[in-house]
Formats: sequence, C-alpha cells, structure tokens
Amino acid sequence: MADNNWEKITSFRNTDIPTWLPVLVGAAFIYAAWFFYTNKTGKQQGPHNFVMKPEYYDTAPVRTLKNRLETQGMPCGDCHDPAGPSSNDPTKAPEVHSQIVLNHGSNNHCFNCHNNGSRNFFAGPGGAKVPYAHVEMLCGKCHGNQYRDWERGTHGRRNGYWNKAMGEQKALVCIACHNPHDPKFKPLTAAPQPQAYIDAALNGQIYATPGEKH
Amino acid sequence: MADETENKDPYFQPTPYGSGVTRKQFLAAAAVTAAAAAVSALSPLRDLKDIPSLKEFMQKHFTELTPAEKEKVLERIREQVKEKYGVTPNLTATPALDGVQYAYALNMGRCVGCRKCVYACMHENNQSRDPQIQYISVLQMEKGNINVEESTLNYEGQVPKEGHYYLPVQCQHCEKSPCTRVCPVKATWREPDGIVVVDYNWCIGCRYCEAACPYHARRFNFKQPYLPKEDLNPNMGYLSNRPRMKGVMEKCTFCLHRTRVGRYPACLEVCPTGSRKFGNLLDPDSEISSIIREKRVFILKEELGTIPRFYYFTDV
Repeated sequence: MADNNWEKITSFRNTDIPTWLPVLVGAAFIYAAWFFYTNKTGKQQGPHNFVMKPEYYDTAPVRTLKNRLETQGMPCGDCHDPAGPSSNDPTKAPEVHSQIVLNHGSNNHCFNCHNNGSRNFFAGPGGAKVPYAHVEMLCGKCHGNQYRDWERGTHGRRNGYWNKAMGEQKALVCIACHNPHDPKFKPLTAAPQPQAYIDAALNGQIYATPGEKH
Repeated sequence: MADETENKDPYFQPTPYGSGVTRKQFLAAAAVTAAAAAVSALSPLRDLKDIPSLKEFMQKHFTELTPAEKEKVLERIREQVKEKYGVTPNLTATPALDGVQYAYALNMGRCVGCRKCVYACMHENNQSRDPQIQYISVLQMEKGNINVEESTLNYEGQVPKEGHYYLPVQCQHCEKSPCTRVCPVKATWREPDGIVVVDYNWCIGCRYCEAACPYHARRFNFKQPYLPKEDLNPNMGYLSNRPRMKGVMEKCTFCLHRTRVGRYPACLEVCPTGSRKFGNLLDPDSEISSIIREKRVFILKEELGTIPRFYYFTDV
C-alpha cells in the first residue's frame, strides 16, 4: 500500500521539467512589467483638438446699440428737424433711406414709430417724444404683453445682479435683440456639438461624456 | 556538468529526478518570477498622480469645518492651483444667503438651441476640455413630441431648425434629490439655499449619484481633467468651480460663487434670447416668482416626485 503511493509520487516527480520553462515564465513576467511601464497610450489625453473660442460665450446682445437715433453716424434731427414734419407718403422710405426694408407685419408706416415732428425721438402716444434710451415706451404701444413681461423681467435679457441690493441689474431694451424694422428674431449659428470622448487605447470605447445618447 | 563531477565530489548529490533543474535553480527562478510578478502587478501605481497630502487626506467633512479650518483648506487649495496653473485664484467658500431659495426657469418658446449657455458654463466653471465635460445638454426635440428618448444632442449650423424646439437640461436642484440620498459618504448634499453641491475632496467616485439622477445631470471625471492655463477662471468657489481631480463627480451648481454674491449665473447672462431666468423664490417681486404665478410652467419627470427647482415655461 505504502510502496504503491511512493511509486506514484516518484513517477510524478520524474516528469521532465525543461530548464527553459521557469526561465521563460520569469522572462514573460519581466516583459509584462516592462510593457505596463512603457505603455503610455492609456495615459495620453489625446489631441487637444477643442479650442474654446470667445464667440461661444460672448455675452454681447445680437444687435449693437447706438445711444441716439441716427443714420450713418448722423443724428436724424440734423437733416430733418429744420425741414419740419414730412408730407411725403409715410409708407415709403425716401431715396436716402432706401437701405431700410420695413418688415414689421402690418406696421408699415414710418411715423408709427418715428416722431414726425422731432426726428431725434420716437413717436409716443399722441405725438409725445420718446427718447432713444426708453424705446420700450414705443414698442409697448402695441406689444403690451411683452412690455408687461419685460418690466417684470420675464421677457428679454437681464444682466448683472439678480439681487438688486448687492449690485446693479441691467435690463436690455427691445432693440438690443430685435431689429425694429424687421423684428423677428433671426436664426443663430449653433456653437459646436458636444465631443464624445473616444479613447484609442481602449479600442475606441466612448466614455459617458455629454455626447452620450439619452 | 553533473556527469563530470559524479564520482569526485564528496558532497555530490545526484540530480534527483532527471529534470536537469536543481532545487536551488528552481527556487532562484521562482524568486525572480515572483519579484517580476510583484513589480508588474504594482506598476500601474506609477500612474498615480496628485497623491493627497496627509493634511488633505485627514480633512474633515466640509460642513464640519470651523471657519479657521476652512480658511486653512482654502489656502492649501489656492497653493495647489497656483502650482498647477500659475495663478493665485480668488477662492471663496461663500455661505448661503439668508432668506434665499434659488430657482431657475427656462422659456421653451424662446430657446433657439444656440448652445451659448453650454460654453459660457464651461468658460465659467473650469470643466475639463479633454475629455470634454459640459453641464448643460441641449436636446433638440421634434415639435409635438416631449419624449426625450427621441431627442438628439447632435445638430449643427443655423438654429432653430424647422419643426424643432430645444430643451436644455442641467442639474434640476431637486428638493427631494435622489443623488444626495444615495451618496454613501455624504459627499453631495443640499445647501440651505436649495443648491445641490459636491465636495470634490470628499467624493470617492462611486458614481451612485450619477446612476440615481433621472436627468443625467452629473458628470464624472474619468480621466485627469485637462484645462489649458489660459482658460482657467480664477474666480472660484470651494463647492463650485475650483479645479477638479480625476475620479470625482461634478455638476451644475447654479454658479454659486456668483449667485451667492448676488450675480446671475453665467448661462443666464450669455443667453441671446433671454430664455433663462433665475432668482429667489421667496421674493414675490422676483422674475422667478412672477413666472410661477403667471406663466404655464412645467417640470421634467414630475411623476418621480423629485420636486425640481428648475422650471420650464412658455409665454401665455
């Protein structure tokens, strides 16, 4: 019984282990260590191909505001006020203003908005003079809902401080966003779509970045 | 070699089992193998960067810090930022204002999907540029369809596209926030003013909160965030836009470093259409109170009972 066991063990021990086998296994581990040490692909952040451009976060309104009623740098009153109220067809712009194309719905009358008596002002109710800085008093004549919302701050842009006790709150006026002659808000060019992060070292695996499908 | 010395060496022991490998040789090879295996197994540790200092490691939970301890922590982070980006940041830990509950409203009838909010947010909040992290997802939706599963984030060129509307989604700052409830270490919590924040030093990166959020509002730093030095915004808050590390969660904080000193969030200030509205729910004269009183308001996934502080509305 005991003899038989001994024979079994010795026969197992007699199995040839070639000298190169443990050497090879050791070499394989050394290679693995070297591979992990020198493999930098997993550490790379890839080409930094995204560049943050200022136009992506530009807070300027879509239109550039002047601070007075003017055309080509000249206040309107310089030409008009001495001439007095116009008796021309009020639905047609004269030759000098031919660049103005009026596309304001049924409002096709220059003097609905421009003060015929005093061209440096807008036309308020009953011929009142509305200064350029308070253009909302003009637009509010027809767009009452928008005017109401603008006063509350729910229509249009507000910049600065939500807490007026801590700083100045600036309300942008109607014509900072709407062209009064063509008031429909124009299409904008969208900033770049989100970049899915694709890792070359992980066989193109996509991380759960904003580009992820919902 | 063994054969030559067979009869002369008094200490000679015959090669036991004919394999040609002595016990000594075998043990030596095994030792080399084990050492190599240990080196290769530990070699990923060489990638470890930003190993936290002892002070950083022993830092208490943010809400338990005394003002003096808090200032020490801020000073440490200022030095770290200075070392990495070359700028001493204006790092603050402004506490919540009394009598303020923040809320956000977005006019869906006016949003044109230009994504300016997305980039103003990135510009403000020091997110990683590569891999890119953005807090706001602007979903392009088909008109007449409110199913976000059929929306897309990928559109380009002139907007708005014919027959589509846009649904920007970011952290909804829920009153019953599922994300804060699942956090095993309380690294994310609701502040007294309603802002859900993350302490990046406390976060262990388990991503439970990301899974719990029904709005996909949380973003994880899978890799070391990359932010060019010139893009760094030096005005930063501890709980908001200070630089993050690899393996932590981040998300929209309503720009609390701005809003807690009374300013509007960055995404609101940039919106060219004025669709974004923000303010104090407790102030009856605020824009946000007016919207909730007067407009048609809805919230996303109302049925979940998360009670978001982010409202979508249309003009009446």
